[in-house]
Amino acid sequence: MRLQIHLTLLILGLSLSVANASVAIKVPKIVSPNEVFNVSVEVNKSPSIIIGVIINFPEEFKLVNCSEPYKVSDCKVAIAIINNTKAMCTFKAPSREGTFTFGGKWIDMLNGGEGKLKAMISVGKVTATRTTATPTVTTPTVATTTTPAKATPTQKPIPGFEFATALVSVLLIATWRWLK
Amino acid sequence: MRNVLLVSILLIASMGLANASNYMSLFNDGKITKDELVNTILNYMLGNSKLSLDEIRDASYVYVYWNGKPKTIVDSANRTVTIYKPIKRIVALTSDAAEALVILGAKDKVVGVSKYTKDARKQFPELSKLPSVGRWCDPDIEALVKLHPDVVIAYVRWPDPSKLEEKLKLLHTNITVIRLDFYRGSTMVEEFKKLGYLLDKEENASRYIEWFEKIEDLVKSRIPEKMVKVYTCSAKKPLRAFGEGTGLYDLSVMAGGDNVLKERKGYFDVDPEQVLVWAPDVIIAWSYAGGYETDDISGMKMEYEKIVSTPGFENVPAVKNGKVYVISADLATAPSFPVALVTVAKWLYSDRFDDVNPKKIFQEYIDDFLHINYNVSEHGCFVYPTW
Repeated sequence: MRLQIHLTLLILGLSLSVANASVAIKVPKIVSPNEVFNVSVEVNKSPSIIIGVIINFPEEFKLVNCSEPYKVSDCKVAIAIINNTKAMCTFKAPSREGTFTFGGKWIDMLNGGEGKLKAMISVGKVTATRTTATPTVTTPTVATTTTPAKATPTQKPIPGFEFATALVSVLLIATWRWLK
Repeated sequence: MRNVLLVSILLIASMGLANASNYMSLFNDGKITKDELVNTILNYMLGNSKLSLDEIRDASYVYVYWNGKPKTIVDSANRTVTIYKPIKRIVALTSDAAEALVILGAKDKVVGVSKYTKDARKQFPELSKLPSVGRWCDPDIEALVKLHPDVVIAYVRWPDPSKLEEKLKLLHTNITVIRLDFYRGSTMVEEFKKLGYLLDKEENASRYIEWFEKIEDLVKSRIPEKMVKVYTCSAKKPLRAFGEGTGLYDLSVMAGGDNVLKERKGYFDVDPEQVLVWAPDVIIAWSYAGGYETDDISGMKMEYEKIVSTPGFENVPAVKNGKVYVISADLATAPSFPVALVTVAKWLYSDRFDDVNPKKIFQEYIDDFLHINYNVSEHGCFVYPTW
């Protein structure tokens, strides 16, 4: 079984709301180089929702797909959220380490509100102390004119808890035998 | 200078039409589909849309609340009117339409009013502050166009299309004219339904209609088989008859009167001898002298005296028996029609309406539907002889 580091999505989103709806972007705090991860846009409003979203993503990142109708142009992805409270986009992180910004804005097409979106993400070595979770792979609903980025989702095997537990066990046994 | 202004209006209007055609293309297959809306939103968010944000918001509203389809009614002039986007800006060319818009809870959409509404500060404390577009029968088209209304609400018969629709057409505006009277009892309910539907104010329309029908049913239930004969006319000119199709005629008939002008349409002059031949039991005269804005009853009183002293009228049963009444246009031919209905019914059959207090019903109407601080026991002149 392949080892995999799982990430807890940390809420780093910044939302500036001027109407009833509020919209937040959520990205992992840190991902490994070349890791495939999800960015979600969540709408706190119901029942009728029509929100237009634009996410400006760093050019080093590649968009894989989105759960809601979307369209890509350069490093911008537009998403239309209609009668749903969440859109999730899958990105692939770059191979180089660093800290990057996901920015953008949202417009409530029904109630007149709008706001900005901003979230920071770090690409670097992931420590084993992080809580794990499985990245969600969503089925894209692509608009007829959508031109998704030609990125292939890849999942890099990364050593995890199983390896660390085995190593600790071996060390414990060796220590116990040496003491005897 | 006037020509420059007209050319400017024409240019702005034609720019608006170009944009409108982009919006209208969303309805090419009859309705806005989810795919069309999605593509429109995505293009806008990427900065590639031909539509403005306002238009996309309109399209979103239509998609969600109108199931993607335009709204269509047949107005009281029997013309099909289709609305493709939510109505946000209205010019009420008549005070009756202004009153209806207040009742429907849509006064915030009104951007322009008639001169009469502008002068009616007590009845329309808020709408009277809006710009005037002139007279209901001959509006100032330049003033109207400058307000960028989505729709104009006018009477069915006035102004003549040559003074409104045809002028708007020349200016290439996409302003929709809706002709609804809101002064005739016989069409009031239907008109409230239609305007309530177009403005998404069905709930308020239903509340008004429920009140209207409650009073109408009360009056109907008390009309005797043998009805009294009624003559309806202008208070200023008693020999100017108000025949079929007029608001006052509707009022007299719905109140249980046997109107002597049956099968004679509109407004026309009659001879006093003819009135004597008809021998009406009751004369109901329509007056502009009273209303919400004046507390001085002398104008209505003078009109009353003019009717009873009209040469040849002295032998008319209504005059001989003291059954001549003057009613204000503000009350009789307006959405307050049900109040006028019980008032006239009580004039015609006083013994059957002993327990009904029209003034109290009027106060309820003012409080519940017009939401103005106006005590009808202290202000206004609505009937003569007084309540």
